[in-house]
Amino acid sequence: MNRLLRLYPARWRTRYAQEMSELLEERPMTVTAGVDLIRGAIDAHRHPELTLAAAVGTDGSIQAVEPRSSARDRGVPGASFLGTLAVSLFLTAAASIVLQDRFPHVAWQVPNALAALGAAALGMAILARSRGHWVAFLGGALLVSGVLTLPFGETVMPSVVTTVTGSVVLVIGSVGRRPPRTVGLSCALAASTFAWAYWGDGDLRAGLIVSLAFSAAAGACIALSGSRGRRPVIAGIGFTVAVVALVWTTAVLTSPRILHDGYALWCGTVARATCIEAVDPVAAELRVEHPGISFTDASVEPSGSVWICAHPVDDSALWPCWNEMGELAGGTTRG
Amino acid sequence: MDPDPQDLGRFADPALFILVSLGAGPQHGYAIMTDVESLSGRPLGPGTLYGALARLESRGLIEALPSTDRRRPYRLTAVGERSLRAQIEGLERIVQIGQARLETGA
Repeated sequence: MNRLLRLYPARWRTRYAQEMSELLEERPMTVTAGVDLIRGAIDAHRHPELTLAAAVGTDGSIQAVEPRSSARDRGVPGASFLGTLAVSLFLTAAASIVLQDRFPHVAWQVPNALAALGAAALGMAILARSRGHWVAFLGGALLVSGVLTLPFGETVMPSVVTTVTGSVVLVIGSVGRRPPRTVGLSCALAASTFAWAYWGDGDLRAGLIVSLAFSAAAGACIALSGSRGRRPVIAGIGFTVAVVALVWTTAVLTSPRILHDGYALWCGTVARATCIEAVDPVAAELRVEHPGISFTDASVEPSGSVWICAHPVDDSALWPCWNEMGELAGGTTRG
Repeated sequence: MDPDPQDLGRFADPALFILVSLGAGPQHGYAIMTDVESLSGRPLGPGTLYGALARLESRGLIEALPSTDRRRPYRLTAVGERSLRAQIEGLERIVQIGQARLETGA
């Protein structure tokens, strides 16, 4: 039961945790009491002013202190917003699955909208939590810009570079700062959002790779900021994983590569439904596998570049076009 | 002007019982809890107890005394005592009016 006291704000615990703990030891533990403690913790977060005016002195006496808001208190609105966003993401994802059969074109736009929503939320969170830490803020702004422009650019390259650069700057700006743990969480949100946008185009593997990269960056943020010389090994591992994952992601996103089992991947844009897989060009068979794309034709230039013609299945008049897939391994390929 | 006890929301009733409990003298959290439960006939959760205590303390109606062991006693302030008297008088008026109306209606 005492563990539930950790749900209370730090200042509240400083003031009341000892006597509450004493009280809990004298009472039998019940579910009702646990629920009451959780409600009390929520109330304490909602009303930080209740414990701002007094603190416990070293001699056990209550001393008046100058009211001021702590970083944790300032983060409460942001945390609430992120929680709301998480619920929205879940509900919208469910709606997307339900809508996919009846309104595939609409359902495809949901991840794009989510990406924009997530990026906006990320911007607000970073703005609220990196107050006074301008390098971290600059990194966050770059990160948001990169994520925001992903669905709209003709090519994904500038957005990816901006996003990755922003992540690195965010990590650098967060080192040794007090609020970087929450900045790290924001970075994790970026990972989820980016992965979701990617997955919306049917390429789950690439989405997972991106998610891994940014989650690792978030982990590095947290590890580095929390280390302060106490956990150098964890910090080093986190940072190394982040760098490797980011480099790997950049390489995957910016060039067509054979990923595994002869599958080639090339994404013209991340969130515009042009992620396409070509299966085993060496076997002289080129197929497009994507739930929303109708494959029409393909050709291979003498240079080895592969072009495919495709359009969305739900609106063939809207977008029949040729897309360069890049150079694939193997000789002539025809679908 | 004394704080309005009615702005305590869901903590208004527990706060009144706590003031009544402390009317007998300084008490620590566990003693207040058991006393309030015997007064009201309902269990008082630790989260609600300390939510009410924090509100009463921030409004200057009660004050914490130096702790003994790990326990910290609380006592009524002069403002708290005035507030308790005012609330009891208000309740007495309600009781009188209610009894009079019941007798008239009967």
